[in-house]
Parts: sequence; structure tokens; C-alpha cells
Amino acid sequence: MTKQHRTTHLQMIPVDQIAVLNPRDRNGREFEQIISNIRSLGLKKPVTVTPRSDLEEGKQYLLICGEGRLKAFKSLDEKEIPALVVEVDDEDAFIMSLSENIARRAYRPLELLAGIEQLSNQGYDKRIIAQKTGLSLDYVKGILLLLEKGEERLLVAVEGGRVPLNAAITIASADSDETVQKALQDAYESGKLRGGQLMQVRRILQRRNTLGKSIAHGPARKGSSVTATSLVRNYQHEVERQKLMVKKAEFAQQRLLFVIEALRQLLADEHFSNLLRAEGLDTLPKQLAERVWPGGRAA
Amino acid sequence: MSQSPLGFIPDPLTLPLDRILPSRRIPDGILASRKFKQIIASLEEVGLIEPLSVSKANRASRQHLLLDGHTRLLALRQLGYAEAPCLVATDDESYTYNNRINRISSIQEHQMLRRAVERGVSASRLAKALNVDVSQIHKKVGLLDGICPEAVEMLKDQHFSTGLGAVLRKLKTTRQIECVELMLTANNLTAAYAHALLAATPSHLLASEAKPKKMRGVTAEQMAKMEREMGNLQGQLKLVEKSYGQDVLLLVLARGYLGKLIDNKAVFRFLSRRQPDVLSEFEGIIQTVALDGK
Repeated sequence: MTKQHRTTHLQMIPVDQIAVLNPRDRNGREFEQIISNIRSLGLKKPVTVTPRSDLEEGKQYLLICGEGRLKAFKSLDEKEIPALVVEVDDEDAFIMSLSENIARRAYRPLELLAGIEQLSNQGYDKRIIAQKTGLSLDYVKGILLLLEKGEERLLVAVEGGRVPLNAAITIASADSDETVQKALQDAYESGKLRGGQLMQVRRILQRRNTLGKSIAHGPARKGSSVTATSLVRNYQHEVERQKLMVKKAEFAQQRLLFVIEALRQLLADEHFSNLLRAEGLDTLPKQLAERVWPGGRAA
Repeated sequence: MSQSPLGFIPDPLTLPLDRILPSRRIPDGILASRKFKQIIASLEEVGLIEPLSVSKANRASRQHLLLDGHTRLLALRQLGYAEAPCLVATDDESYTYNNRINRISSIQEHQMLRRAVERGVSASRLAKALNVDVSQIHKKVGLLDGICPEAVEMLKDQHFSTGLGAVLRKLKTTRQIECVELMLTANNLTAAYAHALLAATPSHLLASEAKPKKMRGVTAEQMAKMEREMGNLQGQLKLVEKSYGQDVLLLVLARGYLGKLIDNKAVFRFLSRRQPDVLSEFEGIIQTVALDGK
């Protein structure tokens, strides 16, 4: 005799008869996403509940999994939700609910995006893929382009929200370092890329240059116990890293201040500014101009 | 009746495992991973919780494409199940199932475990279902004991090791906040780094009067030096963190502009005659400024 699964049945249950056993505080953004997915694509899975006769306020079921889905249904003003009903005691219900939240594997970004690639391989048009997944057409197009070019590093960064898709596409289409820098500059000037994101892009580009486009997972790091040497090593490593960061930052700042001051003085010279105007070079990049003339350009 | 459409046929099926066709490859190393062992353990303790999601059967082969539950299918096979409860989806995409998974944060996990244990769930059964030692459950339940609300708030959405709490609670409140801030800035929430910070904490900022256990192999001078150095760096790092990205970008922009200036013969002549020093600095910047200001 092989192992058997617990018997369940599926039924529609009024949302206000369900009490949440062990609530998980979700952040607002996650929740918004669940709602909009359900609204556009429908509920993809039922919730799981167990019946109880001793609950307050007319509740008849305890929710085991699907808190996000239940809340979303309520806020979409649905009266009933499809639910799998199982007969388990409180302890099992708690353990099931915790297992559902904890004993699950976080998908790697490329695994997630494989779902898009697969639909494309099945022959679906980009527009249809966008409809099926609730993603925008531009996003689907961009992801498929990056997949085609084998840009795994950029894909991982885009999926994690660290690099805007359009910047990734430009980088992938650029054929030299110079084009990449130009692309970054454009992205920055048009406001598509902001401070912290730029650093991310830089790091990803460095790795892409030295290690290639694809990513290879090394073996998982082992947790090690703390010893005096590991403590000092860890500390020194962190200190070195932070010192380097501070040094780089100071160096960048000095150079920048020099450029700004030099430009300000040069441009105050009438001969120089006339010369630039004559040569069509008198327009500074916007962000730079704001630093050279903090209060706006003197007439 | 429901207005929101259903993405599945509301009639669960039980399918033999060999009629379920995986739609993608499972990454290498999953079978040996801690998470996989945890999924196996939870299946053994409380069984399969949610059915797998499959597409409609292929007419010829009668096989269903698996949309959601690749890891669980592997686990069911390994445990010797012959069948799996399934829901048939109305669509054939597999993207949205996984996309919605949000990994539970360490603090959410702590709250849910604590509530369960307070309601009388046996810690040893929890430990079994989650494939951890029972001491780990107790540590997670007590994760935030002695940690100030401000630090908790900062760690709310983070994933960090259970050992972090034990280190933080040895610090006084203000130092807790400072350390968590520093760890977030450095993007390093490991217990090892927390230990290093603890070692670099002056004794008047420790929660208990007792001196911390002396680490063998770390001299008093080393400790004192670590303490000073860390203090200085924390301040500096916070200052530059905000401006660094902006500075580098402006430098890149400036480099482009300066390049255009110097490529222009008339401007070049002007500068070499009147401002030779500035010109040579500009040339140096154009040649050497990489994106990170090196």
C-alpha cells in the first residue's frame, strides 16, 4: 500500500466566516500586488481551512494558508472564496500554516523568468504572454530580449528590481565600454537611474566584464563558528571594505570639486565663454550646470 | 457568485505522479539543500498542504504539465507517494505562481512561531516539521528578547541569522540601534559581523556591567584599536554613503563634457595658452576617471 494523502474537499465559503489562525504581517506593496494579480488574472489557488464549532463572531473556519488571498478577496468585495476544507486539530493546523510559510524554497530569479521563456517557446505572442502573466508588454519584450542574449547577470538584477529594465536593455545592446557609459549617462540624465541604482549597475557591469554574462552558483557557504581569528579576520575585512569605500568617495569628491570650481572660473572669463558659445559648447550637462551655478546661471 | 475569475477548475483531482510532467529543470544542488530537507520533513510531519497546480491534460499523452510545485513533486517521489492531489489550472502559464511567493522575513517568522508556541503547539513537533533542532525553535521564539523596538523596526523586512539577536541583546539600546544601522549600511547582517561589532563596543555601552568574555587570541590593544577604528569609520561611512553615487555620476557627466571641450581645437589652444595647469588636470581626469572615480 502506498502512502495516502489527507482527504479534502473544495467548497465556496463566505469570507466573513473565516478566522485567521496565525496572521503574518505583510507589507503594503506585497499586498497590492496580490490584489492586482487576482483582479486581472483571477485567483490561482484556493485557500485552505479547517472547520471549528467554538469560534466567536460567527466564524466557522480557521484559515491554515492563504491569508494574502483571503484579505485580497475581502478588499475586492468578494463574499465567498473557494477553500479546501481539511479536518485537523489546532496543533496540526498551526504546524501546517507555519510549514506553508517557512518550508518553501525561494525561487531563483532565472527560474522565475523561465516561466516567460517557456510561454514564448510554446509559440505564444508577446502580447498574449503579457495578458497571461499580468506583466506589461514592454517588460515581456525586454525580458525575452535579455534571455535571448544570454544576459543572466542583468536578468537577475532586473528581476530583483536593482536595475531598471530599459537600462539593462541598453547595456545588453551596447558593443563597447564607451557605449555603456553613454547609455548610463543617458539613463541618468533622463531620470531613469538614480544614485544608489547606479552603484548597483556598476557592480553588475564589473562582474559581467570579468566573469561573463552567465551566472554560476558556487556551493552554499557554510556557517562557521566564531573564533578569535575568524572574528578579527571578519572585522578587518569589513574595515578594509569600508575604508576603501570612504577613500574612493573622498577622491571622487575632490576631483568633482576641482572640475566644478575650474569650470566656474573659466566660464566667468568672458573670452572663454564667448569662445564656447562660438564653438557651440556652452551647454553643460544639466546636473553639472546646477552645481557650477547653484543659484541658476548668471545672465 | 464570485466576480473575480477563478484560475483553476474547482474540482481537485488525484493524479498518478507519472502523469505529471515537470515544466522546467530544477537547479542543481536542490536535493542536497537545507530547504529541500525541510520540505521533506514537513511532508512527513503534516502531509502535503496545498495541491499541485497543473495544466489541462494533453489529449494524446494524457499528461498534465506541472505549473506549480516542482520541488514538492520531487519530495513526494522521494517519500514514495504514488499520487498527488492536483488542481487543474484554466491557463497554462507557470510564471505567476512563483512570482507571488514572498519569502517570510526573520521577524515575521519569529512572530508566527512565538504565537504557535504560546498557543500550546509542541516545540519538538515544530522542530521536526521544520527539520531543525528544538533549541533553534526556542531561539527563534526568543529572537527579539531584549532588543529595542527601534532596532526591531529597522530589521522588520530583513533576513538574518538567529544568532544576531543573541549578540544584539548584549548591547545597550543606543548601541543596538547604531549597530543595526551600521550593519544595514554595510549590507552585512551576519552573526560574525555582529560579533565583530560587539568586540568593538566600549564596555560602558554593554547591557550588563560584566566585561565580555575575553576572546583567546585577541589582545587588549587589538580590541582597543578595533573599538576606535570602528567608531571613526561608522561616522565617515554614513557621511559619504549619501554623496558618493551622485559625485561619481557627476564626474562621469563632467568627463564627457570635458572630453568635448578638449577635442575642440580652439578651446584646446585657449586653455594651453592661458590655463595650462587646468588643462593638464582635465586631461588627467578624462583619461583616468572610471565610473568609480579611480
